[in-house]
Amino acid sequence: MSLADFQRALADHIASPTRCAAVRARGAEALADYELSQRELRRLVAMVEHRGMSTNCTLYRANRLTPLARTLPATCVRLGERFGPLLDEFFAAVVDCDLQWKGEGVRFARFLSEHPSLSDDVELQSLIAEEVAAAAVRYTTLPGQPAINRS
Amino acid sequence: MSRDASTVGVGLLFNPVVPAVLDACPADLDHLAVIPEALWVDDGPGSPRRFAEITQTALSIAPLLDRLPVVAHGISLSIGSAMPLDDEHLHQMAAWCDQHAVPWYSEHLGFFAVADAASRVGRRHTGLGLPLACDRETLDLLVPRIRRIRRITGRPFLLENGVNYTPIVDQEMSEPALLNRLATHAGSEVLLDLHNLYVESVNHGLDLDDYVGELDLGLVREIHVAGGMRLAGMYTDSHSGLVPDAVRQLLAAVAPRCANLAAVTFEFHESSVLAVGLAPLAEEIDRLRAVLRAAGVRVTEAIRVAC
Repeated sequence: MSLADFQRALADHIASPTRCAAVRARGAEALADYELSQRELRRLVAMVEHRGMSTNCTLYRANRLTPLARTLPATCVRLGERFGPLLDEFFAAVVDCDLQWKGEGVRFARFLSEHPSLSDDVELQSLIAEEVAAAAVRYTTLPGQPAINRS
Repeated sequence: MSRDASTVGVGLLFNPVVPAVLDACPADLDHLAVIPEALWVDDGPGSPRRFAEITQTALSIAPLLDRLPVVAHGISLSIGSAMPLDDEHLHQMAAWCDQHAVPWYSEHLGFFAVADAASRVGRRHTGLGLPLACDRETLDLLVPRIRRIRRITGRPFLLENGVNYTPIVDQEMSEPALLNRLATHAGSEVLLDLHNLYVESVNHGLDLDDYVGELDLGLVREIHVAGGMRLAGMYTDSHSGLVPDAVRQLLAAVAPRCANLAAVTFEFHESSVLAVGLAPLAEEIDRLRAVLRAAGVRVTEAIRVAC
């Protein structure tokens, strides 16, 4: 489990500045949920404490934001100052992440449509539906793809 | 990609604005590098109809695929993940490479996915490419996988050196040593990304002479060049705009020493068009060809391509 846990821990921390802050404050103790060797612990703490971790966290957010901004551009703009906090909530609540533009957009649209604070905003809900429909057209796929050889 | 084994070709990595760039400013190209995963919708492992080509992208790239030799540059195999290799993805890649007569397939030395039981497909993307420790454990993980990739795809497999904004401490060997040993034990070759090396030198003081001195340059079949930008205190491999002078100089120094080099590929992000304009991006191809010629590299006579 060690390598798998190391990779999962690194991915978890790049996705969460809050987790990074905990490691900076408490060191290896904050990594107790992962099965790591002593060397992996040293490596992870050094990586989280390195100034480049901010770049990693920023790139993570930028790369996850891009499919949403491309698929639901008007929705993102219309959310205004609510967008940032909703994005944090979405990243924390929806673990499915594949960076596929249509899939990420549809998951975010579903999250927004079901969000209690937005359910009464008829205009926003209409905009979301319109942009999801536009994405469905943009990402129409060709028929007749060959079956995958699973051998 | 060179059509003559003794010459080097210069090409572009496809992105959605490449047709517009070539429409406005026809360029002399030898090959098109393509990220096949950018052409597909992937519904995830185990899905009944997992991969399907996106119509709009397929129509956009079709004229270029018809005219230029193509090399495949993967971004999603996640060769270094602790979870098993994604065979469905590999078979899809092999089929695409066969369809387009791709001479080689490259991927990144790193991992892009981790297992996650809470996810619909049992795993999640890491959001960006993450580094592997240059250890014996990594060597042992990758050797059988590379052999399998080469067997299933039936063509040379190149690994690209990575960018890491947070260095891994206490590594057992250097990255060039790992790439050399992977070649010895598994038969992989190298896609040497010179901008990635430049990023490592700017951010972490990597000694470029030491790196290229240690790497077996005979393994290098393709070179990538690109531009970057500063973000959150680091210089990043963002593929923003044109190739920095320092990277062009590195190309001039390294390319003549790569005996099996066949292709130099310029990568730019589509947003570069706004910052740089169409013409300078197309002209970068000519600049790279001039750099190679001045360094004594025999460059392929290219095909003038307009969309």
